Amino acid sequence: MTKTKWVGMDVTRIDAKDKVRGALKYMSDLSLPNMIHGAVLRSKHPHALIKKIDTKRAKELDGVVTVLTHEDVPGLNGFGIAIPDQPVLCGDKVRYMGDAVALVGAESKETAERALELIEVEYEPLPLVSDPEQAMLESSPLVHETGNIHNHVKIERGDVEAAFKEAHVVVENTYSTPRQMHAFLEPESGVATIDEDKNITIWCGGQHPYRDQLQVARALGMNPRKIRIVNTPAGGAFGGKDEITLQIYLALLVLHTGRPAKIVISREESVVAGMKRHPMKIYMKTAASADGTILANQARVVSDTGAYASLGGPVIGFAIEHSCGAYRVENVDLEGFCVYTNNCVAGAFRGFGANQVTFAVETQLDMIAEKLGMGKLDIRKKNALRKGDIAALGHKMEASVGLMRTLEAAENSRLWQIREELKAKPSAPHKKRGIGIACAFQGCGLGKGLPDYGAATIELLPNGQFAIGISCPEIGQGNTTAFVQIAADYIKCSIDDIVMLSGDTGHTLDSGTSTASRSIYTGGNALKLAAENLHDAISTVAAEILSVPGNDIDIRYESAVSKSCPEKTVSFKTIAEFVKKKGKTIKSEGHFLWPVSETELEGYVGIPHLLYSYITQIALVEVNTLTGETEVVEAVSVPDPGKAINPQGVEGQSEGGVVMGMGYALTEDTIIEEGITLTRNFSTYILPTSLDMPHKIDTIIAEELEPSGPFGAKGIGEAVCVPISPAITNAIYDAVGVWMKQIPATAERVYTALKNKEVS
Amino acid sequence: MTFGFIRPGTIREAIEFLSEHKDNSRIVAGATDVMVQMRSAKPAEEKPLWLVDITSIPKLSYVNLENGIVRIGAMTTHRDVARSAVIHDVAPFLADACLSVGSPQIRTRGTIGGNIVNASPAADSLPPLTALSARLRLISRKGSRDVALEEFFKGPYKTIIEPDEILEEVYFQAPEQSSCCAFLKLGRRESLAIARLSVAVLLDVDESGKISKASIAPGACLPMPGRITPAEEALTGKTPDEETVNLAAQEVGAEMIRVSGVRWSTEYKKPVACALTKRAIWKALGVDED
Ligand SMILES: Cc1cc2nc3c(=O)[nH]c(=O)nc-3n(C[C@H](O)[C@H](O)[C@H](O)COP(=O)(O)OP(=O)(O)OC[C@H]3O[C@@H](n4cnc5c(N)ncnc54)[C@H](O)[C@@H]3O)c2cc1C
Repeated sequence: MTKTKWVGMDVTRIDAKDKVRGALKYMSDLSLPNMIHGAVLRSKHPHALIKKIDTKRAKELDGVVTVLTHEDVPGLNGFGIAIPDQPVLCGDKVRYMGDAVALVGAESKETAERALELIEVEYEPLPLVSDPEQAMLESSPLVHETGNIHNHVKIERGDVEAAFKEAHVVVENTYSTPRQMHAFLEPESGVATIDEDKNITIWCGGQHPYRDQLQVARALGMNPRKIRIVNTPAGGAFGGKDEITLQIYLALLVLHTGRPAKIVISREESVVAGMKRHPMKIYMKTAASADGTILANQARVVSDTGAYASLGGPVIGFAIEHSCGAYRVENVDLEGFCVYTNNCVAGAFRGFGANQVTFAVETQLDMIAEKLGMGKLDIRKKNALRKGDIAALGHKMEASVGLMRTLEAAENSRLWQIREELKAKPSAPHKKRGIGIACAFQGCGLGKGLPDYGAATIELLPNGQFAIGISCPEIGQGNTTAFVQIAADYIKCSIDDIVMLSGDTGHTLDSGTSTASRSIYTGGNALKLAAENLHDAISTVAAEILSVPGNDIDIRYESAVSKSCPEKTVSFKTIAEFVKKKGKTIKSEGHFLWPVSETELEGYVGIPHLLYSYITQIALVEVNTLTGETEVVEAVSVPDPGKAINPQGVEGQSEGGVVMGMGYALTEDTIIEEGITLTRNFSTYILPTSLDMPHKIDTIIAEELEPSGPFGAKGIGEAVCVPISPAITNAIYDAVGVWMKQIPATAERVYTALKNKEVS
Repeated sequence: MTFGFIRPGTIREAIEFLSEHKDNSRIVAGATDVMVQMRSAKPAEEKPLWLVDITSIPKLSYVNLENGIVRIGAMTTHRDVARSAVIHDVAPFLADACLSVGSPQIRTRGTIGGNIVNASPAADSLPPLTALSARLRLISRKGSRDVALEEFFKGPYKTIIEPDEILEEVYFQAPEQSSCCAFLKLGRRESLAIARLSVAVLLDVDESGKISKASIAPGACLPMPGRITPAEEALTGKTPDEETVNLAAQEVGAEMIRVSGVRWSTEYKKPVACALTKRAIWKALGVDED
């Protein structure tokens, strides 16, 4: 691999100082002169027909500038990444409590909120469906006229029934997983303006500015070029800002009033209206031979996507792809349903369907190991995917596969080595300790059949610095810092000479999403191509300045050099000044298209993947047998991100991921009963706090370089939060002998499981 | 919602104002409960509400011990109660309870007076104050009155305080030097956790090792603060051993069901309330298992 000056270093995040000082302006901090404040009227019922909407009284309220309904949506009244089935403003029917019915713009936020109270909506409530399995029945009320099953995936290979017959062990269980909330610190918010030519600019946290642009343009019936979207910086996203949030409302307000507008929604509104992780019910039957080889896996997964599709279709596909874990399994029978209900919409969320099925399959694996008297780490090593293996969907692992490397590093970790010693010393006699381990892989990129592409730009600025542009937004994960490091090494300059432009359709080309563990790999590869083109342009100018032929130029650190006459050099700075004097610029572009798996699964898009990140995680827990409370005492996280562009950044992702996966395993669930959200804010939705974090999280980076990646990098943003959840529940079993098949494994559930065990 | 805001500088000023705006004013101390409640209140065109901010009244924040009586000013924050040398000396379980409230931010703003008047069944300062048989001093233009803490509550979030009254202080007899105490809380996480269950235990052990006096006050499982007499009786006069302590703990669970009935969460809460009480009794007696 190329020697690097910046890549692989713990470079300080480029946004660190401003964030620490509080100087960085998030979307909710922005305000524009003469702006109005928007507020959205949400549904009063989880499922109802709209009979009448009367905005007269609201319009008459002093300070109200505009009240908009479905009649005021000039273009397509719908949005949705996969299919636009979610109305911008509902006209005839509402399908969940977060549905938007009207939009107010007023001189103040308070007036806008009061106006919402004055809008009279007549509803005719409909019977609702809140259980996805019931929604699949013929007799169920229809959420959409097209039927409640939005997507169905079925993949079979080999012969599972034969394998079940010949197997030494078969385990069969049903699992269920919660509706986790992204809980980004900054609730959905943004501002927008419009100019005399009706060009609209929208600043709103998001994850794919060009797709936001398309969705806004479609709803407004406008040329996308007239709409500029700025997504960076977002105060956290985790997939929850991948879909449209407020962009279209902001656009409608400025379009109809000609004035700038701002909307910031409350946490409570965000909880009711915003995206969640798909709750899934997973039936799984797994067979193994006496030596622990997995012979077959059968899974049936029902996923609750709520009232609208968003990315529910691809999520169920992704779940099926990952439902056998990062293991070789020759016989599979995998079926998934993505189902509409009148619950909160579920969409993209860090892990994208892998979290749910990994919890199931990693528990199955531990049960098998238990029955065989086999080590928990050994059974994973035995079945771990290696390069060249055929994975569950029948696709070949063609790219780098680092699972074994992560398992070996996990085995050598301090926690694993002294686990028995640590387990023997609980902090009180009524507390029991246990250790759990789990693995995962995580497809990077959008997968086969979806165009996955990204561009980068580099411009030599008059002062000799370089402006680089990538539209994948900075959502807090630190990709802009990694881009700066990658760019500096490709361009061969100092990181201090890079100016980063991010997430803005006005200043960057389309680089795709900041999702799917894809932005570093995409942006990095695009930067590589852009840097090559840049070097060509620089060489041409350098040759002119040095009076040597064009092909005689070599690019060195911060300068161009004549190959034949090395004392002839010219700095990038001088080149920049020279170009400026001539009234010219040096700008380059790089356009990168993702490689894809050779395997094609007919009828499906988004699966399988070519590249995966791999990870092994270990948890040491302590269970209070009197209360059922579980504490994660220590954790080890061993990710394979390919090359770690910024090891500290990987550690940050890893630690945050562990805590997010811990919340998923132990406490977090958005509870919706009969369509009504009961956990409306953070007093009842139980996110872990700093005091709940493990006392120690060790991240050991196990790099398996990916030849097609920038400096060998893949992606790691998602995998880090996945296997820790079953590692924790497996550790609970190790501690007190109960399998937790439903997460979150709350104190109450663990306690009940313990009681039931005593009885039986 | 429209509201007026006033910040009186003295108690006198405050009670004058309150008596004139009885039916549309609300006292604000640390505002950690008031703000939350205002945020979820529906905007309405009713009479504007006056927020009477008493944080500028200098004489309401103190902890002192005189003639065996501990007095805590209503405006004393949880942080200051938790740090008070007097409280650590005479009633450390009250310090523990105040230290378990919310987070550092909440403890720095939230006051013990607000905790009492808000009357949440899960308020953390109430079990130890109940166990201490604390009394309250209320003041209005008409004069002042004293009430026992246990008589102050009418139900969840309901008290007998009049709209023109200010809680001035909470006070209690300092327990004997020979006494011991403990507070334990079960929440859903380590901080920013509302109690799902809590229990305060105050015991007096005589020279022979017998429990001569016992106060047991659970939190979050009764509609309002109260002591569990049968549990206390199970301990009084006994030398604490496994069986006695278990018996007392069982009484707490039984009382919880007697008062609140059986609910979906009872199957969990009852045995856990017993376990928590047991541990609290042992902790008070110096056998700390955590
Ligand atoms: C994030 C968060 C976490 C929390 N965690 C906990 C917790 O773990 N445990 C817990 O017990 N509580 C908790 N609370 C609740 C709250 O912080 C406490 O009840 C606190 O003690 C209230 O005090 P305050 O000074 O903020 O009261 P305020 O909000 O100012 O007032 C509360 C009520 O008391 C009245 N009042 C206040 N002072 C007086 C007075 N002197 N005379 C007459 N009436 C008065 C007010 O009118 C109001 O009705 C939490 C709150 C938040 C927001």
